[in-house]
Amino acid sequence: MRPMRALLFSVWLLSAHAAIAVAQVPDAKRPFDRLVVGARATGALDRGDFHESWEPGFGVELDVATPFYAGDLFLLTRVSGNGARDGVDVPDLTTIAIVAGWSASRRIAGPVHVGVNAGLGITEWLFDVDERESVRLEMELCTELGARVSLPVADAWDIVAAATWQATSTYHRIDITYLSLGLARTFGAPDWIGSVLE
Amino acid sequence: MRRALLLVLALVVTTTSSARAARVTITRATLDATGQSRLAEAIARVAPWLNTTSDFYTYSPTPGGATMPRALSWSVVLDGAPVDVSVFDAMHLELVPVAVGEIDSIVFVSAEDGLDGSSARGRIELYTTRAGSGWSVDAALAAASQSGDPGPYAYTAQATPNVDAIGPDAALRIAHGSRNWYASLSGRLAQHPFTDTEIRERVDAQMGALRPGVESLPPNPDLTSWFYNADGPAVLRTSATLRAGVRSGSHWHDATLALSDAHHYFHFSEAFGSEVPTDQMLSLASLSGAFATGARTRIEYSASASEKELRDTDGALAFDYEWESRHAGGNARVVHETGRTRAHLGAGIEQRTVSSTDTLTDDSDTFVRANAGVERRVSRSFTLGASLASTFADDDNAIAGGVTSRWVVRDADTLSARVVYRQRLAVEDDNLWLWTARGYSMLADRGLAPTYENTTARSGVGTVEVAWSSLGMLGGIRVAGAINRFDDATVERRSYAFEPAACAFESPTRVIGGQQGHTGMLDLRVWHGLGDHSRADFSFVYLEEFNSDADFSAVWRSVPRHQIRYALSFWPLPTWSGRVAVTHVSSTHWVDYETIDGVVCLSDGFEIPIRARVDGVTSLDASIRHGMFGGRWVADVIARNILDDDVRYHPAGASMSFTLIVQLRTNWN
Repeated sequence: MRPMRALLFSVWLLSAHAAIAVAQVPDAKRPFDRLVVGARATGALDRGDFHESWEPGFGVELDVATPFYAGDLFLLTRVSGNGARDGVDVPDLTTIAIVAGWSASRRIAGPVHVGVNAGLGITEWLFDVDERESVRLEMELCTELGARVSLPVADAWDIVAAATWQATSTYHRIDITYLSLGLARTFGAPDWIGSVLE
Repeated sequence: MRRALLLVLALVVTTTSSARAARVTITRATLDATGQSRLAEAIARVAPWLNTTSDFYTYSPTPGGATMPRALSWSVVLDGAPVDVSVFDAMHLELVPVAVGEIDSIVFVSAEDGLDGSSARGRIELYTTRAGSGWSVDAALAAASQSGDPGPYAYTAQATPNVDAIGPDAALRIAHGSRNWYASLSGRLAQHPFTDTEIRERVDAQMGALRPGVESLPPNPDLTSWFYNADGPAVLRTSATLRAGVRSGSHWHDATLALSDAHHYFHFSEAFGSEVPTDQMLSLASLSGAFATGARTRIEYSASASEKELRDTDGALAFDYEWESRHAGGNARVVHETGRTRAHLGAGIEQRTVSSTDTLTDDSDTFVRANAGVERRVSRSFTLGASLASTFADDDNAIAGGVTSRWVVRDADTLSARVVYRQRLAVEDDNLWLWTARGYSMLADRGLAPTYENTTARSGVGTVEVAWSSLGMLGGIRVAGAINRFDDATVERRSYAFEPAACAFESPTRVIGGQQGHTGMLDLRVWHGLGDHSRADFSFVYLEEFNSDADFSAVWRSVPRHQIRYALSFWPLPTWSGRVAVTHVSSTHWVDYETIDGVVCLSDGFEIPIRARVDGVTSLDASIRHGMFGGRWVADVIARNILDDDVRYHPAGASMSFTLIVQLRTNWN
């Protein structure tokens, strides 16, 4: 195993242990009894090889989470636009990530919650070219690790700030760290969601 | 708590080992836990045998270290009847007309003593599930995506070829049954692309023949498709199977009619130094069962007939086979059991006939087999057994015999030992060398005619195996050690030259007989519960070759020396379960490739060095299963090689990167 892989794996393990430790603390939630719907503005933080050809664009994250027996399950969609850098002959593209995963959070001080999450999904790139579908669209597997802080601001409303490291397993791997800020609203979950997930 | 421990114990007993040391049984529950949709893949995940594969589709095991590497001297048996899935120098396990979801259990038999009436040195027995009462419908759909696509870099100077999706694979079974009979109709479809960069370069010239006027493969983006693309190097596997059975007393009689087709199977052949494309069609009819002839006596029987055709369906493959192989045979044996004694006496006959446009010196073989054995519990804790078997063909014959003992030291501890010696006739090896010697000209037509040195009419393998198993409340352990001695074994040696234009290898084969050698195997399995809802399985298989002839020794260096696997299974809820497994397979060395060690294959802008040594690999796999709607629907998400290491097992083989498999299954009964 190469050193970088070993390091990444260690990060995974540490994150998982931290998340499991957080999830061990009992809370009052029952599985699937609520939905937390979030919307956040997001932007790429780092400047890797990918950003030598494309401008890091802004985007939006939408996610839905529901309590699981330990922690939460979530489904996230992130859409961001990336324009070609001046002088680089590549098409503009829209990046769409669809990620499912698990998260855990814990109140640490007053009303402030912190949490960690890990997910697996796909990243799609829609190229702004007039070509057949197989050339306009590329997709690849991605993994994500993240951390977030939330603060309640009103009944059922929270402000959420998140940082997410995303690795997309293209031949030349694309690592991007996203920072995002937005709101989350908690709803009661319809019964059918519990029926499916249980 | 106690109930949970008993459940763990029950799982352990059923998934590890039967009383006979050389048999390992895998149950439906274990297969389910792997979540695999393909037979070869599922078997590779659970088999106790070391395995190398060149394409992650073809399964090439060395059963118990008692068969030569990549030899075809092991067999596949479906519901008691043999299935011929060999294709010259590979076993096409996926050709077996059964879906993973139909399998009730798999038994791996190594160092067998001939009790079954065949002379295979290893055997995979597949037993299907008989349909339950009423109508039932089972269906499965699976697809996989392997990472490594170019993504947005496709539009930059760093562009790389696309990696094809795997699948989709699908299976459907409709069945109706009652307490005393059942009938089922099932179908299966699988697609697998052979588009690893190196393989793609090798098949390029062959695939050019598929499209007259087109000299090379279309660019990979055009190959990427969720459905089969006949222009690409990919196999399309379809099968249809009709099964029916009736109960007679406490026994069943099962019949199978099946058609299995593989369109464009590109398997790597060491003899050709490249992928060999075949269209295969297997027709199979079988009948097996048992009936009682007394309170303590029963007759077990099986009969089967099959026809396997290698052909060029669309007249486009680069090989002209004109090859049909027909097998017909039957076995019967009388089994008598008393409280302390179990004895059997059996006989069988098998006929193999080949049709080819070449004039063969001998196109038909008939094998007559006889076997007998007795096992007796000589005291409350000690059982002894002995068996004898013989195979006759023309003027030759081969014998097999064995002595077994089992000592139940305490209720939970068992010590078993077996000494087995098996001969096998050279003409039983239904391989390329046999038929080339009889006049089949496919190798010679390509300037690859083999030479034969010191070949003998029969070979022998003697095995001494000792195994100890112990069960406790929290888990168990099984340790087995075996030494195999080979007499008059046949090995294949080559000194490859490299053809850079096609990334292919070329060398006539020396078929060398009269080889002697030894292998030793250690098989350690430890399992333990981790609370009420999880368990861990550790396995370690170690193989060593020693005190052998030089060519024998050289060939065995291509088999991994050890394999370590640690798997953690957990089921926190009845509807949720998961599995995480870490597997390490040690490095291998392929002596035939030493002459070209370090050459570079140029393909699609990649420089791929060919190395005689294949590094050891460590892979991390994880899977999650979720049952929905009362268990009628089950979803599996399987992530394989999560660390995205360079997983490969052959110098010229494919490399498997991080792969995600999604499978959806449903069962309506």
